[in-house]
Amino acid sequence: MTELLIGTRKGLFVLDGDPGGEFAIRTRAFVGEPVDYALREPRSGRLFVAVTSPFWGPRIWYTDDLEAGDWTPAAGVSLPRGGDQALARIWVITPAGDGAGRRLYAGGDPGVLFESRDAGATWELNRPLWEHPTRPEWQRDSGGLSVHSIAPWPGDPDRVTLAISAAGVWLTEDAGASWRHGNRGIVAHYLPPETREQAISLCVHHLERAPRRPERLFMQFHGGVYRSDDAGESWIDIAGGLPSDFGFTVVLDPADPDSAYVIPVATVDRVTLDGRVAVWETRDAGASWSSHSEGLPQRDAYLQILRQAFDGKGEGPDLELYFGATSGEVFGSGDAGATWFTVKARLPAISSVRVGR
Amino acid sequence: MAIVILRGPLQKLAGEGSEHRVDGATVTELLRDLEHTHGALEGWILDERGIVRRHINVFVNGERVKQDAAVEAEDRVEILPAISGGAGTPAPATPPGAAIAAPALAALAAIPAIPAIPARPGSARRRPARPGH
Repeated sequence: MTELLIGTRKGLFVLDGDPGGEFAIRTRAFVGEPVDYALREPRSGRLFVAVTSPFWGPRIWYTDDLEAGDWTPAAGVSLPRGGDQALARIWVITPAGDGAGRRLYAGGDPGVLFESRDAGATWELNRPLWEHPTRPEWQRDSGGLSVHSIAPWPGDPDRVTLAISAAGVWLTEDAGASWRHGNRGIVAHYLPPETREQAISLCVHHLERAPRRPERLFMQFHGGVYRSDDAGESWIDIAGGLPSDFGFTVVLDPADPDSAYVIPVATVDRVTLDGRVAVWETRDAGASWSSHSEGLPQRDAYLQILRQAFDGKGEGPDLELYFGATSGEVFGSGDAGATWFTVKARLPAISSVRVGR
Repeated sequence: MAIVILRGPLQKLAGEGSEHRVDGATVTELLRDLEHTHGALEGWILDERGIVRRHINVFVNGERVKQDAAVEAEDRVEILPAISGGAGTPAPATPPGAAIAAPALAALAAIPAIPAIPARPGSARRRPARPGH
């Protein structure tokens, strides 16, 4: 049985099911409120959601008992009071990984990172990133100024790679006491050629680290798919062979550091290409790509798939993959992407899809 | 002291019933004092800049006001979600986070919408803050 946490414009939907058939809605929470992200922390089982209430503002909530609906607002998820900026949204919540105890990270808009050392009950703003001298050069994109991807190093929670849209890749080896760029090799075609080399306003859409070879990362960029083999210091364009280098998501097979899955979309309108839905896979670190579309809509399907709406469970041949669209469909695969089925249809606009357990 | 009336999640966070006697010469001062007294409310009404959140309306004695409006002793101040915040939906009929089990989902359709309170043009009170407060 697989549990899916679906964040939608109208609340959290928790689905249960097995690959191959339609999943059932087990419960809903935050009915009517935009749920931007949801996570079940694998060690504790604690469930987190990021809610941007149009009335009461953005907040992280957590519960140890989903069915009871006993949610608690996390403390400290805010910017310094009395300043000229307010927290707009939490984009992602990430466990710090093996050996990190009860530590978690959360990223949000405007380009902020929070850290919790008590399993998510209280959080603290990372000041070195908040006060970084280059911050005035960071650029908002249409989604805001978002820390949306957080990739801790397995076994070394002080070593973290972040992606900010649009402020590029950031690296720390000292638990966030200092930050530096990791942008070498990324080409922003939306900037004049003479400014690209030193550009900070790099619009990373999503970034993932290969857990079995942590120095390897994959990135979906705003026009480009990249791989890093040196822990995010430099990047190699691997979009050759894809029908479009534009997209918002990337998922890896944890068993295979040479693997990545992307969902290419059209550059102009950011929907699936030619009305057909396909997931593209590489098993040779981006040297070649193959398309998977069996079971996915192949006619008149112009789906918008957002950056947090693609996730996986398990690994190898049993890898399960799930993605959702703003049109309310969720699709899944129980055979590492070879074939697909409809998990659920007619949900509200989907912001995030995360495997709970 | 003015009387601040809280409902829904704000009432739950503040505890101690729905009515709270709070100090302040303006709506802003009142809300800051409310946050000071009930720490769990911090960030719910005023954002980090000290601005009333965009989709919250403050009413004093039944009239919608801006946050620099003056408040007098025994004024009744209500803090309500605006009809604009839900992208076409009414204010939440359930507390934030309330889980709804699958069998109860169908009952959602039966929950009546909270009546919207229209903002009357020109009704915002613009009394200046009293000097010395």
